[in-house]
Amino acid sequence: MNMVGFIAIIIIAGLIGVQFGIYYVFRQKDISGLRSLMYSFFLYILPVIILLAHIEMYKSRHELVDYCKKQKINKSDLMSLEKIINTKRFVIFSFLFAVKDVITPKDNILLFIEIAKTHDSKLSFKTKQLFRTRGILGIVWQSLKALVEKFTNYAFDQYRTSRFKIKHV
Amino acid sequence: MKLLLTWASLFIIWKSTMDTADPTNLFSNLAVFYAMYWLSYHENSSGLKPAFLKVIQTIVGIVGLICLAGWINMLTIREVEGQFFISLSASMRMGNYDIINVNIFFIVIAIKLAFIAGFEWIVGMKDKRVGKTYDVKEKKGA
Repeated sequence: MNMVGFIAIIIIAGLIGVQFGIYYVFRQKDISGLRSLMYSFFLYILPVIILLAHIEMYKSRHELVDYCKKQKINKSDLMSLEKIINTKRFVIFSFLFAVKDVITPKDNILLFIEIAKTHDSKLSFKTKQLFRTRGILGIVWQSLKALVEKFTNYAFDQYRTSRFKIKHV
Repeated sequence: MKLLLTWASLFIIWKSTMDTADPTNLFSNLAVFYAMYWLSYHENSSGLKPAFLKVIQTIVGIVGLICLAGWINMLTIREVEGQFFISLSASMRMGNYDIINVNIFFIVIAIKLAFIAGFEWIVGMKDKRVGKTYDVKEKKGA
């Protein structure tokens, strides 16, 4: 076996270990075995979810200005934000921000666990009904949408706190 | 950081073992590595700690015994048709009996270590919201 194969093997083993860890955490939080397994598999597409969230953030970037107005941010800061919001500079900044978010997995996993737990408390009431109407794929799709939505909100918060040094809300 | 250190150590062991085919290299490196890993387990994981420590202690014990056997010439690494095997040494008067392929032995340990490291990393992670790790079961109504 060559070095590349060896690296691939330990990366896969490490990822499976992380997945089992997430499954264990969900079980500790009294989430059913099947749903814990489903959420733990989202780990593999977490970078994609984060990228989707940042694309979503970029699409709804004008809401950022409205929010900052409500936050009573300095007029000069607000004006500079309005100036760059439709420029290439903002695109590059958003891209770098997304890359930074993807390569810091610890915060993302903590958030992922928190979101999945909150989402599951809503889902557990109507699981049987959803199974009948949408099937397992429907539940997976709904969970995925919820994750992207919450990660988008998180990206907004991250942007606001890093750019204007305001308190995390 | 711990995961990176784990992998970096594994690469070094792999390289030195394959380059020299020297058992003391493999065994001493593994012993040092396990001792290092044993000492650097996650401080926050309270529920997992006893079980985790027991597993690591057992592994250190087994690797230590193999290391000792290599040191007193009971075991050696032998090359057969380009493959390296951990085998009984000629001084044991049982012939050159191959026990396990070095690559397989090493890969099994590497897989297990990476798995444990990944699992322990998540479970020992501190939940920001409640300020504790995930290995403590939440009490209902608390």
